[in-house]
Amino acid sequence: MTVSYEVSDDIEALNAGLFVSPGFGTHPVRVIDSFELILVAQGRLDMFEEERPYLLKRNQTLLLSPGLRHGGLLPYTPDVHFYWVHFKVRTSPPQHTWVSVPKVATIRYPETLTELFCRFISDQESGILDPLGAASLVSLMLCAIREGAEEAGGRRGSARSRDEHAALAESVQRYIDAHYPKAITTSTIASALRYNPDYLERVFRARTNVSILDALHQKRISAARASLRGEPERNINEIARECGYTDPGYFRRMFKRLTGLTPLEFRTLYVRTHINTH
Amino acid sequence: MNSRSDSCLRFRPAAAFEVVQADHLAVEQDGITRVRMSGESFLLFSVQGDCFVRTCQGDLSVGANEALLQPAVRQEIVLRCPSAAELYVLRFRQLRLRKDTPQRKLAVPDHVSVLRPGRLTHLLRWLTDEVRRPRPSRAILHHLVVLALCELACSSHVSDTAEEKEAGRENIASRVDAYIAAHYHERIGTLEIARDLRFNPDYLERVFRRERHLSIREAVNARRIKEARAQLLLQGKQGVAEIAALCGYSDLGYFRRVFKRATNMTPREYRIRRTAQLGGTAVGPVRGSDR
Repeated sequence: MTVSYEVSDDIEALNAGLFVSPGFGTHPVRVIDSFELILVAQGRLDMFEEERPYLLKRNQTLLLSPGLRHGGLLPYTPDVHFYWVHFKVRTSPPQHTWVSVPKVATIRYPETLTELFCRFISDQESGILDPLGAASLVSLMLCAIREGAEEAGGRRGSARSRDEHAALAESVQRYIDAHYPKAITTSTIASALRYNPDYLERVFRARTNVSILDALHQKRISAARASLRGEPERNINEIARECGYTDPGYFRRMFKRLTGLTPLEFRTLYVRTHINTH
Repeated sequence: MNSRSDSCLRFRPAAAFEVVQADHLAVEQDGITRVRMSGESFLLFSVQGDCFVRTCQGDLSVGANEALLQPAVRQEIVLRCPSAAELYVLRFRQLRLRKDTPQRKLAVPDHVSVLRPGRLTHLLRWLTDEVRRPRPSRAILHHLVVLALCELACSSHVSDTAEEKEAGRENIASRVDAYIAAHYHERIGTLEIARDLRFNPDYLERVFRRERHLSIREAVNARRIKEARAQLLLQGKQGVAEIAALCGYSDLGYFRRVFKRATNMTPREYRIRRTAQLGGTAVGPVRGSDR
């Protein structure tokens, strides 16, 4: 027996891929009839659309509009890698939530967005990408950009102490981002930033809804996800060590707790890729 | 570089699903869980352990890597799970879409053996995390439900008996046979066949090999060569290259190799010998193209 549902069909996803620089050439100048979303995974990409230049760095996205002339501003740098997807939006009458996607966004934690691209490309290459699923993947990419960009933008707050708390939580996060491979804990972070650990914990939790330790685990596991996806031949224990876990068993437990999958299961999620070099 | 420049795309995706509950259950002791339903759909995915589900339609067993979908349930659902079972429970409501919204039907089998359990786990995990955020995004929840349902839709239905499974495999293999018969002259391979018949290519290859004892590629070649042999005799006026193209080979060298492997003769030898055996005169111009 099958169950039937009605699903809205307002995005049409066309195709996606990973561009790997051949070390020469420039993005062609063209006008296309679909949107194109680009995520720079590595290196630098210099594009323009009509008269505006867009100089993109790693983890930045660019949304190109249909009907406008776009192209490369400079030849590809030898190390540039970027994901791309083409899609169309069927104009439908407004309903429910607005999605408002910035032209250019800096994605602070690009893991979610990257995984969506990988999922799209892997299914596309296996020939089992359902048009509805593809449309949902593109919509989730747009949501991820909106959310990622919100975090990157400055937070508004009227009270002074609120700003200070935000800045403090921000500096904890920055410390974690920079030092997660090392053996750090809440108390070493507190002493490095010269704050009382309990106070720091309270402020951080109030701003972010998670404890400092949880934020550290999230950062470490997210780094592990990137390595598992990007480096298929690397040993899992080695990846664990690089992400700050000296005990591989503990790493596996934390990975399963945060992602629902074992590191090995996670690695086999996206097996096929589509790479183009022109 | 400004990261908050003008937004260039603003639209309202129409959400068709509203998530009521998304939970990950790690069962420590044998136990019974009751889920009160009020007209929403119920999705159960077992990562580990055999669960028994009692619904108004009767009792069902959901084994590891299986998913069960029950639409519009109004009665209580009773779950009996053994210790060490791990499952995901999702309850969602279908929302009415406005008539002028472009829409599509999504048909999902109600009890499947999940083709890619890792993928489904990943999605359901994301769902359970998203509903626990301070302000969960309705758009994200909706799209995750669509993707989870697509994941179920590309899996195969759980059949109750071994004979049914056997029949299912035979059925799939004959669909491949029929597809090859209809399309052998086109550029088809395992990927194209799997895409058009809506199966995972690796799964299709496995099922086909099990039923027919040869790979899909071999079956396509066998069919093409069979056709080429007939055409070489029938279409005496046509050159080997043209017949190769008619039978789906754009590369003449490859055609000749496959032909030779199957018949121990080159296409031209085959034409000359068989024509002589059949007692006819050597038909058609013997061109130098087949060398």
